[in-house]
Amino acid sequence: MFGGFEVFGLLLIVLAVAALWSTVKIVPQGYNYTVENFGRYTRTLTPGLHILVPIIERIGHHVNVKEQVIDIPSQDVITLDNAMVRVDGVAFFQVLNAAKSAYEVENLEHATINLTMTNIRTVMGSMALDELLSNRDKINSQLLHVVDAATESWGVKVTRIEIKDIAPPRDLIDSMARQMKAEREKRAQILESEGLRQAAILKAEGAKAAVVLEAEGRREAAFKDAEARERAAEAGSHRHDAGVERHRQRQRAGHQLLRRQQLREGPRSPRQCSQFENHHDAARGVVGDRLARRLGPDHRRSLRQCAASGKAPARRQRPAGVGARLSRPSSGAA
Amino acid sequence: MIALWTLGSTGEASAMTALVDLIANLGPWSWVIAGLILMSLETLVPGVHFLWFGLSAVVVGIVAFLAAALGLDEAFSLPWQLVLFAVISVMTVFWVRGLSRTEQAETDEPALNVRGAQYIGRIVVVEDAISGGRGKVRVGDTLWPAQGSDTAKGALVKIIGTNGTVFVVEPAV
Repeated sequence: MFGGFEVFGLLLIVLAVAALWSTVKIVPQGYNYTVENFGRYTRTLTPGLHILVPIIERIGHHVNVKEQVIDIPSQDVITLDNAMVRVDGVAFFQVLNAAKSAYEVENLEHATINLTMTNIRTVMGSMALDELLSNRDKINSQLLHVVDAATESWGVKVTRIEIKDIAPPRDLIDSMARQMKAEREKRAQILESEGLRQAAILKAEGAKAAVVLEAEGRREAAFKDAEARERAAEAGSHRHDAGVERHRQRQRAGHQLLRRQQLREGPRSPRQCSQFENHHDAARGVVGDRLARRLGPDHRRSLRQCAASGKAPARRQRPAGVGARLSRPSSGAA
Repeated sequence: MIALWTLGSTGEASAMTALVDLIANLGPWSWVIAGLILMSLETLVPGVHFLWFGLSAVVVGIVAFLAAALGLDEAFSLPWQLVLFAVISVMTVFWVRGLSRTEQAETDEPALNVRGAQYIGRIVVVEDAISGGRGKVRVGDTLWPAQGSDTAKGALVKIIGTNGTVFVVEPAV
């Protein structure tokens, strides 16, 4: 049964199997396979089914074209102000050109990590510790700038480089904590004393207001009291004045009665006549003849009666003295 | 090789002879059975190793049946069957490749894993002025090198192509 032909047949199957196994390649999604033609790169296989030329072509590298993350290991970096910090990071990259990344650089990951580490030292060595801790963004973008430029020739795009952890030495952390605590305490004390000051001011203002109000109250009370007294006095004085007025009226009435009687009877004595004369002179002295005329018909009748009855005294010239000066209206300055 | 087989332990030799007898008794069915076994292995095992062999085994089995029906039993002896099996395996590969090629064009994400192609057509802001033909543009949250005519920082440009890791841009209006 196993003659030459059968063996040939079997071996043909073996060859077919071997050939198919080595030439038919399934490239999974996310990978690119490089094809080498007797060791020389010819083409890149994208995901899918591919058949290679059997003996001549071989698969060279399996290149991962998905975005990858690599850890940048911790290292000690000395900052500009001589603080020693422990830094680690993470880098994201993606291979865009499979052939370049496979053949232009030996061990891509190793190269990228080392490149990033040296650049971290460079970037951080030129910044002070405070600046470092607050400007992570700036550090990240600076690192990206440099590392991306370097990996460009390897067909690799670095998309992000992030510093994960910046750990200053323990005692530095303690003193930073103390600084923060002191700052907070200072603020607390300021607020407390501010509060006390406000309280004292308000209290004093309250006291002042109280005293002022009290004084105002007393003033009002005094005003009211004075007013009350005034009213009372007025009311009393009104009665007094009324009485006085009545008295005067009666008196006048009595005088008028007496006067009429006198006029009817005529002047009784020369002294009365001289009085009439004096009155007349005085009146004339003050405002002149007009008033004399205004003295009234009664007075003029009395004068005529005096003159007629012969009881008028001799007209004597009064000296222009004080009396005349007083009788004259003060024209101008006195 | 035959000597090796026969010189194996008696257990093995008896198992081999029993298998050979079984295959001989089954006749053309053995090919079809082998084909089916191979194809089920194919579906179970990750990767494509047995598909062609399975298909070609089934085809050879069918041809053997036809030969038996047509009375060409003697002409279509084992070696010829084996040869046919080998040849058809290779042809099956090309046939399956041809099939998968047409499907290769239709995919939900044509630019999958081709980072540069995914950004074509986007309008982005120039971060480092493009001078002397090279500069940087901000795409999403990263900076990409850009190549194109001189543009000032802050201008809008449109990505029209890629050149490795560099975007080819033109001013967007």
